[in-house]
Amino acid sequence: MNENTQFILTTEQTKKIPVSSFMRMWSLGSSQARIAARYFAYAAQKQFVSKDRKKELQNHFHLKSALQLLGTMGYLRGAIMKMGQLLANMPQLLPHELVEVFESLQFEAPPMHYSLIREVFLDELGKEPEEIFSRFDKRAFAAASLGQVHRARLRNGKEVAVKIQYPSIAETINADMKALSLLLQSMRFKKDFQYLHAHVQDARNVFLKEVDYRSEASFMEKNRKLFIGTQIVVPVHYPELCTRRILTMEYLPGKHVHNFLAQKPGIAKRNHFGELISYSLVHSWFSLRTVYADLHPGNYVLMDDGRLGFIDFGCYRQFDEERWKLQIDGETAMFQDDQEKLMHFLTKLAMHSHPEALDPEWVDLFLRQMKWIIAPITARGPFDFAGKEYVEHGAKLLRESFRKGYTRLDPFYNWSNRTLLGHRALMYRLKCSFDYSSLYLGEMQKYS
Amino acid sequence: MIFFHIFFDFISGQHYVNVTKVTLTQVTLMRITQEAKKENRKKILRVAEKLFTRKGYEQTTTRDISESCGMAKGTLFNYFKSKETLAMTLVAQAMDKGRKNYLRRKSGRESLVEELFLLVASELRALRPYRDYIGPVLESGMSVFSKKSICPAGEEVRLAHMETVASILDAHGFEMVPNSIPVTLYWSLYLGILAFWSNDTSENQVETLAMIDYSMQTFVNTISANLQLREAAGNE
Repeated sequence: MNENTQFILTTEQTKKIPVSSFMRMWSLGSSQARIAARYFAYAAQKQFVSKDRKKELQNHFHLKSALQLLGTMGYLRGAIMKMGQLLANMPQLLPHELVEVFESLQFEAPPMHYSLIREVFLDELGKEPEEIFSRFDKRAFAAASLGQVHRARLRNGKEVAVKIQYPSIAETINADMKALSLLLQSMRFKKDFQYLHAHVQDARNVFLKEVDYRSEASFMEKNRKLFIGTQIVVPVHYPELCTRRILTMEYLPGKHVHNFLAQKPGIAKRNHFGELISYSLVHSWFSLRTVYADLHPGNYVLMDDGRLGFIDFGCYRQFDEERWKLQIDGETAMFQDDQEKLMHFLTKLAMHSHPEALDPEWVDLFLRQMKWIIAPITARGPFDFAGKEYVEHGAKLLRESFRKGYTRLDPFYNWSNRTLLGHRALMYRLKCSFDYSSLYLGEMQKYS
Repeated sequence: MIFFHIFFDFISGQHYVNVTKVTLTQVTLMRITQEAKKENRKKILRVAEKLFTRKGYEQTTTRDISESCGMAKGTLFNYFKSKETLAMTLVAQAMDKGRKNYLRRKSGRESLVEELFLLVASELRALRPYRDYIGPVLESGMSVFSKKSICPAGEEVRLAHMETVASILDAHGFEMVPNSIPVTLYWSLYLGILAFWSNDTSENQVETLAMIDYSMQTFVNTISANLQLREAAGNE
């Protein structure tokens, strides 16, 4: 497998921790201004050059912008990381070169020191950590979405994980999203520019929901109840110790995917966990009608007794009745190869009023992508997620999608695409093979 | 009997030690007077605090305060030279409480940035009741421009804070040289934090926490680089 393929397939798994920094406020301003200036320069230049030269100029220009952004990115943390995720999952937003740069950045967040944590505790719970817990580890043991996680022990002896959000992250997401909108202004000569704005607004709303840990706690509880009696464990949370910025939950002992893989587990174990991870997604998709949009390996704990801990519920979207019906009709049409119903689905997805308005090139690419996505379902029987042909074909389609850069799409589907790609990438990483088809179709039949 | 008593002149800001020969009756009378004075002072501060909160700092006059205290305006001035001094005294008391909290909360295992953060955060927490009007008070009491008419209470606040900073720096192996560039930098950052905090509209002023962290990091980076430079020069 070539490096590029490898890269694309692991992009979903390289997300690092975001933590805010005051500096970001002005460094983003300067970088976006510079990129905007470059776009204008390009827009002016391209009027006077030949087609081939245009392409060359464009690549050269994108690369320069990417490098320039990289230069300032060292100072940018927190919400900017979210922006990176957004761009990576919406390749239509920015040129591929920029997406690659964002993805390759290592956002090593400086952990919050204990004095800062104490202040957050005093503001949120009115007490210092020592007054609440019988033991509180001053050093974080894991990174979390928009914060860090500390181990602690409750007065009743229960081991807990306490997620603490970095201060002012919501404020900076707002500021960064504003900056992103400004940055996109400089791309207004691009086709379908008006749809970019909708994508940014949608992402902003989802990220802002993620900064309220209480919303995460309630979704976590919903999932906990959902998975009772299965091999999936969702931690119990402690409402009296949960606020907008602090989330206290049961500590689940086990390994994360990379530690699990480092021990070179056999195929049976890999298949077992691959199947459980798939079940966690498919079951919540059909029974709760939610898209679990932040699928990354750090959100799972692979427990020694074979159970799977499902621990992060910050980023999700909920289907409304209309969307859900459209989704199920669309999926059924895909499985049955019902062209008329499929065109109706695509028309809605691309926000057109008539199928005739659809761009045939986009339809062709979309259908090929869908075929790739549903291959493990239509396979009927064990499916090898690490199969060379499947993986390379997926990478090729992704590259094509990056290149074409379609923007006219209901923003909601950015999240389900992200989940599906994330799932396939994680299954590839586990190199597992199992009957995904029965799992998926069984759930679909049960809940639709 | 020989009786030593120390009193503080609020107008000149000087301490006086008087040595006088007095009778027992006089001692009792003086004690009563002293206690009455103390009580009056406390009462003025209490009333002023209430009025500042209720009416706003700008809208409250010294006449309002003296009337609410049931004393003549002139008497009020015997205790506090101006409204600014009065407010600054409230601020100084809160900061003092904040510093005591910092001493209670520190474990001695904090890094330099963390300890400076703890000091400033503890002070700001104690200052919360005064946040609405701290801007104009600090402007008049701790102005960086005015050298001639320094408010004594403001100057006391500065000295007390810097004394604590010096002891923190000392515990981490840094010597604080008065009037040096790093000290000026520290004080500018500190006033910047206070100004930012007084206008911080975020919930529980969380943005200020990021600001304190960033400012203390900046200061420590600066003095660490200075130290490294000096060490490098010494090695040569």
